[in-house]
Amino acid sequence: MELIDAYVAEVGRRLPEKQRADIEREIRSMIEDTLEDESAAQGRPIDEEMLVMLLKRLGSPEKMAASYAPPAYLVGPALYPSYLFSLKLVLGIVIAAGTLGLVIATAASGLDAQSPFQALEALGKGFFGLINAGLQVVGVMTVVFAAIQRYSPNLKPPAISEDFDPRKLKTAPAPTAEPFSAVGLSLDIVLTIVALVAFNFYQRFIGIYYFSDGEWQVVPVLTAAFFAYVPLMSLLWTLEAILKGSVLAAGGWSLLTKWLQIGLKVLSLGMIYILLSGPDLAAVPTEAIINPGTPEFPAQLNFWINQGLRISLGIALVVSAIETVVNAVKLLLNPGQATPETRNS
Amino acid sequence: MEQDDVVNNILQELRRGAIVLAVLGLLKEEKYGYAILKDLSDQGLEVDQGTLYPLLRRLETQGLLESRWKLEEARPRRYYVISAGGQAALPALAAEMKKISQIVESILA
Repeated sequence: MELIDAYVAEVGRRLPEKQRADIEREIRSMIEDTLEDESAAQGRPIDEEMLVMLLKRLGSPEKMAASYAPPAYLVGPALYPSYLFSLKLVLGIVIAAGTLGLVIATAASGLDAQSPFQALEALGKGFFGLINAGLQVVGVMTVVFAAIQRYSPNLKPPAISEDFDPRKLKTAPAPTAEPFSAVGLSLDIVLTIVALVAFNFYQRFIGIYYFSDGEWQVVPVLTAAFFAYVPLMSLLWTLEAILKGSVLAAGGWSLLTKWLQIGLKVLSLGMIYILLSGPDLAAVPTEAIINPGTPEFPAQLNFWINQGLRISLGIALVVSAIETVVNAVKLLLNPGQATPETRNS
Repeated sequence: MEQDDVVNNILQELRRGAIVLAVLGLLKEEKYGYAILKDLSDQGLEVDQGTLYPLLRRLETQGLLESRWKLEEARPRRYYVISAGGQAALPALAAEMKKISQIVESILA
């Protein structure tokens, strides 16, 4: 009966090597016993049709093997908590070190870059390098833990403590009105880092772009007065990135981080007020205006650009101030209730 | 998942515990796999091969059964019998099953 050999071999191929021969022998014995019994019951000799019907009833080799084999894990339940903890730890270190390296490297290349595209290319390479490093860490850690799992198959999950004291449980974080958005926070952090790098190291590439003489030209529009505020803005952005990073690591907003966020919002309002009340922030160089029309046009243009900027900043100041006050009052009245503003902005 | 699948899955779970006890009870004397299957069927407990044979191996690994290969009618057969550990555990398991049965019966009454 070649079909029996083929079926048993197909099942065996899917079984652990140590048990394979024994289980194969048992399945063969079971098939032969069943066929013998059916042959007697039906009053006819064993034939291929009878065997095919039996094998169909037993199920595919995959199904039969699955009923014998224990669940296969790359990293099993005993190791999984350690795997996850180690992965988060190492990944966190690599990403933190990589981000720092990226900022330093892009700063250096930004200073050397001859065009904004070279600078952008350097930044892009840095980001891809960081993603690559992260993926390598995940890969290596998984291989290491899979190897431990493979060669220590009898590992058991940590024993469950019998002297559990419910009073020692950590206080659960205050419930939030809306789901905590890790993606939104991560995006905020990335954008903040991009702004930090751009305003600190690529100042000469911030401006109006136009295509002329076969290549892209840039006209810087922000004044030296604006860039004088960049260190202060950078400090605020850095604090905001650190705060959001800590919220991300903690898995949600706490009362403390919500208040810190409101504090940062108040400092940002102060920053906007300083920008609003200080000298002009933008100036289009006269030489960049190809067809000025009248001699007064450049000055008029700059006046209206700055007026527009001041109106925009004024609106932002008022809206942001109202939001901050509303959020602070809400938080005072109901500390467990988060608002979208304190969560993701 | 269809309702029938849900009911079938629950039925399988219900049977699983009962099969363990029935097998331990049957194996006070040595039997091979197919004979156990037939005995269970004769008693009204239908179990498929894909469930019974892996269960026998699992109970042996847990120390509740013992087994040995015997050559009969020019064919090797694996014979199982309850172990000393299985004999010690059986009364408590049977008592618990009886208790559960009575409780469920009284709830459903």
